Amino acid sequence: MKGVVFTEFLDMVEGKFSLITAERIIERCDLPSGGIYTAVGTYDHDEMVALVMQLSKETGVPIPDLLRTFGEFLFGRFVEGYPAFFEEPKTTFAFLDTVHDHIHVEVRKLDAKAELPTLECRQPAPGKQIVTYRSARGLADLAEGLIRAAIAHYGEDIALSMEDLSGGDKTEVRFVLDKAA
Amino acid sequence: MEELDALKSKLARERKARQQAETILEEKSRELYLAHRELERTTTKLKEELSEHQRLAVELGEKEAKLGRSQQRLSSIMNSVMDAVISFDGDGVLQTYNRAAERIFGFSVTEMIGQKAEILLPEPHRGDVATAIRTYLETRDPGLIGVTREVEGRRKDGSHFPMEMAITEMDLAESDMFVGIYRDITRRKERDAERAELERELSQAQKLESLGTLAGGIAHEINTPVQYVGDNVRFLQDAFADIAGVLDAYAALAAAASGEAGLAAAIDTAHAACAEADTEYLVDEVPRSIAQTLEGIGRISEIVKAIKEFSHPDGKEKTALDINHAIATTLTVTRNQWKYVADIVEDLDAALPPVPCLPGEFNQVVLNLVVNAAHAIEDVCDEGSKGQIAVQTRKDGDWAEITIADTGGGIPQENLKKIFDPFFTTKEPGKGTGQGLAIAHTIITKKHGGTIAVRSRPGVGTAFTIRLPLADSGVTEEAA
Repeated sequence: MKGVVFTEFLDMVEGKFSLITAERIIERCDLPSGGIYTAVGTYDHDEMVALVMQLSKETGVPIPDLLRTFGEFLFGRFVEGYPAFFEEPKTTFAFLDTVHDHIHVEVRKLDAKAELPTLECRQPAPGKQIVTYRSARGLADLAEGLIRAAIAHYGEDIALSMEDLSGGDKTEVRFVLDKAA
Repeated sequence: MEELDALKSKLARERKARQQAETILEEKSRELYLAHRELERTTTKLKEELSEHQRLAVELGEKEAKLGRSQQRLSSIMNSVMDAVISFDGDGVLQTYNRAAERIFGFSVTEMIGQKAEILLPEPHRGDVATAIRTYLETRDPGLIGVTREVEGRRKDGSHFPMEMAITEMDLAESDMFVGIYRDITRRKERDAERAELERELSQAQKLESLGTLAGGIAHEINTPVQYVGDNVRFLQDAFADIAGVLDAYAALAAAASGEAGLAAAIDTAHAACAEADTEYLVDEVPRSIAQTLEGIGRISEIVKAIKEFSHPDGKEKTALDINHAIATTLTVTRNQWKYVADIVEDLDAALPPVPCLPGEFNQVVLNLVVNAAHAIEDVCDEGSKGQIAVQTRKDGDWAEITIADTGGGIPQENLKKIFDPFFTTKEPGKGTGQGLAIAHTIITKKHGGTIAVRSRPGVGTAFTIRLPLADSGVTEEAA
């Protein structure tokens, strides 16, 4: 997993909770990396799972909520760091359409080994978009946080619902976006 | 955990993270450097390839231009040739049609492309080419393909004209294509007819020239009998005057006898007249003189008849000719040419059937050979001695064979191959033009379908053997 996700996660923990919380979960996770992350590095995905689980334990906040919150936080950082990806699309639907065929393609140019989820978008009717998420890491809640942040970014009134198609591990989920008429 | 401890812990992590980041950065820089170097190499290679592509593009452009010029030149050649050149596929459908074809046939290229080539032939022959091509494609039997033939062509206005047609297969892998070359031979045919007429005139002129050459000898031949015929007639004139005196005397004697007065004197006068006239001599000599005169007249008549026969122009068709008689006639006409240097030994086969011949032409051949034989003997004969010209005829299967052999000096080996060449002669100027044997060869081989061969041994003599088919071979002057 890209180091930027870890550094952003720890920034979020510091911001949303406290420096002490951040240091404590690092210390208690006994991570192989020792919690030493740099945005340009690549680290084991299991360390992120361990950090999230430890944070949930420390704060009492459920993991899905933590991941959604992190997704929303991460979206803001992406907008700051890569504004070009967000300028061209003018709506949430248009933006989500670009994720798989454009943004992920560009990410792979920077890191050919990057393990990215697949997002399949279709519009069965005007004002409605269905996004199918597939990833072995099961970070669908993080994806939901990102989508919610996107809706907020484009200032649209869109209702979002998620349906787990993978029987609980959230490796394949369907997001349904309904735009208010 | 105290705030301070947390800060210290974070600081320691951040420091290590920075070091890690610097290491990663350094590695990335190295990777970037290597990638940049690789990119430079690739760029250089791409530039080289681009340069090569540009060079190839220029080369291709030059080749295309060259090809264009070549096509233009080919097109120009096609349109400059005098013959109609067309191409057509295996179904006979025209693909190309040059400018000469437009001129010769009268159809424009736009009218013809896509049409069948057979419309360039008149109706009865239209299927010939299509059939030949179909047969060729099925069996590879060449038939009409690759052969130049004379056929009739058809113009747009429906008129017909003679042309030569040659069809060949094009060497193309992708399809069956043929090229047809058509040559309008109308003018050539006209020229051939004119030439044939000229040749006839030339042949007649050569005969007349021979007669001119022979004229001196013929005049001499005629002069000899004419001289003694004249002498005899003058003698007969004088003899008749003498006989008239004798007759007058005998008339007077008869008158005296009837009156008996002066009978003796009249008898004496008659006797004297007889003596004067030498009647015994006249009785012997006058019949002989008359016979000799008749013989002379006969010879003159024979010579004149021979000249008439010899000089009679031939028609176009052959006639059944008595070869032996023709040879005798020619020997008569040429007698003065050979009689002082050679004896003629005739061995003529009386059973030889008539031979299809152009008589005047055949006589010309015999004349040329006999005169040549006489000249050959003359060159080697001492004064007063004579050689021999043997003339033989015989039947050999379906052929008539005529041999004229002389005892002259013979022909050197190196000249034997050239003797039938036009204008080849070893005779001194004024004695031969070198045309005699060339004409003889043309007459025998081309006009009669026969052969003429020569055998010669230096110092022994030369023999020419002519063989003529007894059945008309169909070879005519036109075909030759």
